[in-house]
Amino acid sequence: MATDVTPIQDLLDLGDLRDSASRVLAHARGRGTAPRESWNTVVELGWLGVGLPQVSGGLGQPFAALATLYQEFGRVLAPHDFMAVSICLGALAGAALGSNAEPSGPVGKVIQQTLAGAAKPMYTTSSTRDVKSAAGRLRGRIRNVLGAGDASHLLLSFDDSGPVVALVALEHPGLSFSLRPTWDLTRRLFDVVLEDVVLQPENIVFEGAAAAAVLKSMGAQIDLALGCDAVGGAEAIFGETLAYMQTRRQFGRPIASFQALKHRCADLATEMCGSRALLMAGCEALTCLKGDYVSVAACARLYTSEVYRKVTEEAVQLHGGVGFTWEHSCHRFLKRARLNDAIGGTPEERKDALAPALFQEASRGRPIVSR
Amino acid sequence: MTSDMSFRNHVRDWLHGHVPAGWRESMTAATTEAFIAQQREWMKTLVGAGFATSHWGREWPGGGRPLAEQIIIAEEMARADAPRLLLYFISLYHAALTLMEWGTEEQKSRHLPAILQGEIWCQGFSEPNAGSDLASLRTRAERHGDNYIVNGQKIWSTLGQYADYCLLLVRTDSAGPKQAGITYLLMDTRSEGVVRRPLKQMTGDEEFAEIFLQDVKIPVGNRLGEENAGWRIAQTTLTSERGLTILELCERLYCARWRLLAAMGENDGIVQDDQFRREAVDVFVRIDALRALVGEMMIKLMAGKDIAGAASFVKLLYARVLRKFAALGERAGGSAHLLSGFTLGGGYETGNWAFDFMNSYQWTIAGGSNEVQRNIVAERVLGMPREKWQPT
Repeated sequence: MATDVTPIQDLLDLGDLRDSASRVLAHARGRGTAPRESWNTVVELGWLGVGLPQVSGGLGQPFAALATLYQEFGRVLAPHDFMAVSICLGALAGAALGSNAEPSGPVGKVIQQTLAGAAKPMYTTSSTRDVKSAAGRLRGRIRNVLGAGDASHLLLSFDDSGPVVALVALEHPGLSFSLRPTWDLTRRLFDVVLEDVVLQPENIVFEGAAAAAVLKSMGAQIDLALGCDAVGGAEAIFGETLAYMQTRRQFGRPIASFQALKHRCADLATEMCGSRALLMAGCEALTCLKGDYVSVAACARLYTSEVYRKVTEEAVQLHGGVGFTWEHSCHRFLKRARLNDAIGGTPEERKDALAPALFQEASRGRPIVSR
Repeated sequence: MTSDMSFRNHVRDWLHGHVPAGWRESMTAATTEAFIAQQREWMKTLVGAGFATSHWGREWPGGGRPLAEQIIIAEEMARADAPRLLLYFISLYHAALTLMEWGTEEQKSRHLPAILQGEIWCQGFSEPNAGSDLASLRTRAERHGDNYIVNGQKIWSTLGQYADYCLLLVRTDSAGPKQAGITYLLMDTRSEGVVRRPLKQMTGDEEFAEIFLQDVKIPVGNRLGEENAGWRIAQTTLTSERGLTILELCERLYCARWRLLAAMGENDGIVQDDQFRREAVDVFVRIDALRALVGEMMIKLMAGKDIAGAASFVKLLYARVLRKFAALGERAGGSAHLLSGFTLGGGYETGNWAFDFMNSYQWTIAGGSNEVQRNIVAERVLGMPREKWQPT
């Protein structure tokens, strides 16, 4: 991404992008499932190409532009499709490798089809535990993959004496998937099962160091995209909650005037403000490939997800009875926030994974000679 | 944040050669006299190098530095673990900037050069019954000819027992709204009728003073601005340090993260205990978020934008993460409950965990308590209605 530098005059104005996304997505609010026509709109507006290098037919914008869109999608509780396809396209285009070559062959074809609305490749994340490669055959089960059943192709990663990234069509022999119904109605989770999946050379996208680099960048993008989803969602439901508190009157005054409630809102706003700043720092680090951007992205996801959970929990309570009903949108945000934090493992697992890098960096501040 | 590397390197090199070696050891369990001597010496060194007055106007030695460079100085002070200049904090920021904006030529020429020579100032704002509700202050000043005669009591004056002068808010009119009857005076603390008593904190430290005023004569020439116009002038004092202090403190906390790992008994980046490891990650994540937010606030400040709301967010977050940091260190460092001498002027993350924990209350109470900050956020940022108290 850093090598595909966009001249500054071609940068999209993020405020304009936010406003137009917000207008376009307004009707999708809280519906959770993506009707065909709204995906067509995503395609027609060129949003899939926003972060894609120009040689791949994209706009080559810095990650901040994608972050703006992810936040707007989070605000309206849009399904996972945009994020999954956009991240998958970035990986396919090899943006993380600084490649300036136009992707060709089957991968190039899928990218072109996707930008034209004729394909929907999505990423999956799997550990070496999930997928085993033996004698040229893949076996395993990848659990809780967001969106997979709605894709045309899946990006798989596995270990075969080194990391491999492969792209397979959903109808690839040996590949099957099953829907796992969730409390969160705004997204769809699938289990993807691989039974003796045989890959052809054209399925292999990256191997070795290139695959490792692509997976590293993809991991950071997933963290930041989920962070954006959390920030957008938290701001949306928090705004609704504040508005409700201004109109709801008890004891002859708006409940927004009670100090006990004001202080709780102030605490939420404070943490939202802090976690948003960290998220923005993460987006910048990724764009500039600055320092340990993977850790910053992981920190940003941890904090924004935690704050999203907190805000949605409080939103229900601050709404009172109406917040507990099916009709009100509180529960949709609540369920989404809780699923967000469970994607790809528990927060505790993520903290454990993050600790070594974070602590090593922190230890560096220690003076060599104590003074 | 700011990438003026040559200036940064200059500051860094200078600090490398001038931060007194072993100052933490010599200031731990140190006498008050030793602390005062160290502060005077450090002040002299910083003024000499022009690093104490970078926020002053360009007509002053060391002054006129752009905000970006002031930020670099604050960041590098933290990075070099330089002693904090506590004794002169009010002099260099609150007194100096208030005098520069509101002082007469005579007041400025009398005090500003004196501050560079080491004149110590304190703030006489809070009173026993005027804390969060500062405008309700009751210390009275009555005009008698060319003097005000002042009676009352001030409290929480930082290092007020050592000050030469005091920024004093007094009531000169009780008739109208409480803010409209306040006058701003500059008081010589050696005037007759001034009694100062150090206030011993829960840590045993004496960082604050009570000031008792009985028939203290203050010349009208020592009034700042007009009579009854003191409230507005006080706002200059209260906002004078413009976020640079919190920036430095956040950087100090960031640089001191190793202390928490050391308390957990590890310094190779591995913490065996799952609970401590995860809580440490939580704390470090919040420190990163805080620094990112302070960075945003500095960019706003450089663009000349209002930072009132941002400053409340930053203060609330800093106070919270500092408390978490100290509390976690206290739990993890097994001997934290054993009494040991604390470090004077060593900041808020000294590694004496019980002390640090207690000391962290300064950030949830002083300078606008958490509760006042929450009111500011709720009312001014979120637009929630003010709550009017109805006397019954």
